[in-house]
Amino acid sequence: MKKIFLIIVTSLSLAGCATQFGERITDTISAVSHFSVTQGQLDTAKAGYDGAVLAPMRRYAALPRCKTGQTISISVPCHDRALLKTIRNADDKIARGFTETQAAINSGDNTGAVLAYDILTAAISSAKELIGKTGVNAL
Amino acid sequence: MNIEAIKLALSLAMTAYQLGKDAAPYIKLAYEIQFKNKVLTDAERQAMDGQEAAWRAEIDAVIADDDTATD
Repeated sequence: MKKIFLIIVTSLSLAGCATQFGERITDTISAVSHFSVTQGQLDTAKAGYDGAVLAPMRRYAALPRCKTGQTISISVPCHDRALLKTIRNADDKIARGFTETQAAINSGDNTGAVLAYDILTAAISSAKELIGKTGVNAL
Repeated sequence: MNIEAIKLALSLAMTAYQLGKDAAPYIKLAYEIQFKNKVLTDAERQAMDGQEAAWRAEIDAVIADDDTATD
């Protein structure tokens, strides 16, 4: 009886593992093929964005304001008000992009999620270029 | 080396340190989700949203200050 119980438990565990493994493989294949957007992809994009764009933008904003004609340098660490505003406007669109992608994932709208995610990743690339212009990462 | 140069070097080092301190946990988190199969909980997502909102509020305050500045 004990042996039968053990066999059943082992079978169920293996089946669970196989199902999980199968689901993961399916997720990975569809993500790689870009047929779907997973919660993990969106979380990775969000955490990466916070570290690579939002945190540097906050540090850039914390620098003193550049006087007219000044640009950021090692000897004059300052933020350009127009550039800061441009990055913040881009950030606002990206924040909405994250919300829209999350809403599409939550509602099971896979096509909408892929579309929103594509727009989002393009916007993040542009924001990264803008952060590069600040020079804050080179300080 | 004069005192002004030392002050500038210290201030730059502090900015770099603070930037690293802010950014590193998020870069690490992105790495863990991508390569270590970490799954975020709802509480962790909410914490991220809260931190983002706080940072955006700080940035918006600076922009509002910039808008009223005459220099």
